[in-house]
This record gives sequence, structure tokens and C-alpha cells, in this order.
Amino acid sequence: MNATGLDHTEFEILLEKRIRGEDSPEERASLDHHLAGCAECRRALEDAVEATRAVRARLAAATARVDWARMERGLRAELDGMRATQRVWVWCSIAAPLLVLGVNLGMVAPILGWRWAVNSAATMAGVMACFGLAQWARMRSMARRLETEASSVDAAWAAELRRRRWRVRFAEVYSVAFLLALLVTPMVAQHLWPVMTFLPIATFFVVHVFLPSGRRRRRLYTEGLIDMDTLRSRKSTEQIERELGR
Amino acid sequence: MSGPTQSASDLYRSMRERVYGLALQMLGDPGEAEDAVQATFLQVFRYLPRFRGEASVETWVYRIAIRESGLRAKKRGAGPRPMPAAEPAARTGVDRDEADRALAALQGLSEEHRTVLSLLLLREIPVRQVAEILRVAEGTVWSRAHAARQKLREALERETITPAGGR
Repeated sequence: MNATGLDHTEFEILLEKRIRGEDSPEERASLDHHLAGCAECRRALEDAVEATRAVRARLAAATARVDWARMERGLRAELDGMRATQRVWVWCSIAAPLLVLGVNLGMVAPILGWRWAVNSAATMAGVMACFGLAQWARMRSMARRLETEASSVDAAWAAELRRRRWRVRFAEVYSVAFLLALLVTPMVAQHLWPVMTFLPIATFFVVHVFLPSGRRRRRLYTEGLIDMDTLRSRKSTEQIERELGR
Repeated sequence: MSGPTQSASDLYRSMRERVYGLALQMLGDPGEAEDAVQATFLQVFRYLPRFRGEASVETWVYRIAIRESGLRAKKRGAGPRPMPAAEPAARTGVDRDEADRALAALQGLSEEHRTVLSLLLLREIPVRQVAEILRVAEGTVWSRAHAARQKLREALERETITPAGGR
């Protein structure tokens, strides 16, 4: 302790602020007073200021040598690859309902009768078409943003969030609708009892457990708190959150 | 960096040097730092549509950069890593050895200490934002930085006493 009422450690923290030039006038005066009588802190400050200056200059020199054009080319190539993958998924989601329709009409109808096949195919194709449309909308939006001339990221972000919320909600709704359609289809074939038992349990699990947990997990990833390996790991979201202290 | 006309490419151009500086301090190797920058911006471009805007975009980008650099450092294994030869001292106007020694010693610190010192060494990031990036209070940033600097000083002193074992 000294006349300012601060102990040595507190002065050392003030040194950190001084090195960054973020000390207040009061802190500056207090530290100057301390430095006048403390050779150890004076030396520590001089060493730290010199080291900081040297490292910053070294970083500036290293940064100046980076071939940014090459890096940008690499980024563009990677982004092109990602867009190509997304295009495959878009086409898959468009082709899926057509495939279901074809399989139902071509293979199931001759066995179980046309009426069953048409009902089943219509249900499945309708739901999957919606699913495909939603995927297409999401992918299109993502692909647009992947363009280097993407729209704003900060000030206009609120409007984008509003639009995106609806889209995400919509996608979630048909994810559930898709699962329900899978379950409802056998009802057309009059296999009611297992469906009536399983349907409420499955719906409850999907709506209240699976979707919220997945959302929380994806959010941890987009916030940069977990990596891709953890995102895809078998660990439960609750366990991951516990480990992060949330 | 905010503004309605801000684009993802502007974000990349305005932040790439800072992200590189951060990655270079975290990894100590220019090649690995470049890879980390590329991986960071790939993640940024990919997940920008899902970014909720709860923190500033810059904060989010720094967090991703720290995560990418940390993952690479872990894969590589802990321990000091010498920096390759830099610009001649006459051109940079600084004591290159001192900078290289400090950067190499930085690699020997824990990830927590290395991260806070690396962020504070980038003068463009205010302490308020460093606290936001690390999700701690500003006071914690200062005390953590102080502890990290002490460890760094000890490492540099050890190296001075036994230079052969230093790197």
C-alpha cells in the first residue's frame, strides 16, 4: 500500500492500462506517483512498452508480406465448392417428390390398388414438395449471401433477421409436417392402431425436445463457442452447455 | 465498420489484417495463420445468414478466429514455436530478435493467456470489445492480461538464463 491506497498488484494492472493507453487521468496520476518511487514498475513498464512496440512492428511486417490476392482466390474456390454442394441438395429436394410419386404410381399401385397409391403419393409428394421448396428458399438465400457482394451485415441486419425468422419457422413447420406425413401415410392403408400410439409421442418429442435442442446447439456453433466436431458429436446439447458453463 | 452498405467482402477486407495478426500471435507460424484466416472467413461467409446479431459482427468474427486458431494450435501440440526469419531489422526499425522471442514465448503460454495478450496487442480492438469477445468483465481482462504478462516475462527470463533450452 502507499499514499494512494492501492497495493502493488493494482499498480501492475494500471501498467496494463498504460501500455494500451486506456488509463483514465486519475489512474494516470496515481500510476505516475507510484512510478516515481518504484523502480521495479518503471522497468516493467519500459520492458512491456518496448516488447509491445517490437511485436506490433513484427506483426505489421508479417501482415504486409501476406499474398491477399492468393488467399482471396482460395476463398472464392472454396465458396464455389460450397455453392456446388448446395446446388446438389436443391436438385435432390426437387427430385425427391417426383421420385416418391413415380415409385407410388409405378410400383405400389399395381400391388395395393390405384386409390391407395394416389392418396399416398399425393400426401407424400405434397409434403415433400413443400420441403423441397423450403430447402430451395433457404439455399437460395444462403447462396446469395455467399456472393462476395452480399447484403449488409450490421445495420440492415435487423430486417434480415425478421425475414429469416419466418423462413426458419416455415422450414421447421414442414420438417414436422414431413414427419407427420410419413406417419399418416399408413393410415390411408388402414393401419391405424400403431400410428395412433406412436404419433403423439413422436410429435411431442420432435416439437419439444429435438427441435429446440438442435437450435440451441446450432446457436452455440454460430456464436463460435463450439467447433464443428462438437456440433456433430454424440454429446447431448445439455452436456455441451454444462461444459461451457451456460 | 457498420453501415447499411457494408458487404461481406468489405467485412473480409476490413478485418483480414487484424484476424491474421491475431492468428499469427496465437499460432506463431505465418503459413498456419493464413490457413486460419481462410478457415475463419469461410465459416463467416457460410454462417453469416444464421448470425443472430446478438454481438457485433466483428466480435463474432474474432471469436471464430480464436476458435480456429485454438483448434489448429491444439492439433499441432503445445509448446513454443520459432517464428521464421522476418524483414531485416533495418527495414522494420525494431529489434527483431526481441519481437521473435516474445512471439515464441507467447506460444508457450496457456490458451487463455495467449488469447488475451494477442487481443490486447492488436491496438484496433478496444478493451470493451476484448471483454465482449472473451465474455468476461473488463476488470477480468486487465487482471488476466497482467497474469499473462507475468508468465511471459518469466518465460523470457528463463530463456535468457538458459538460451539453449529456450527454443
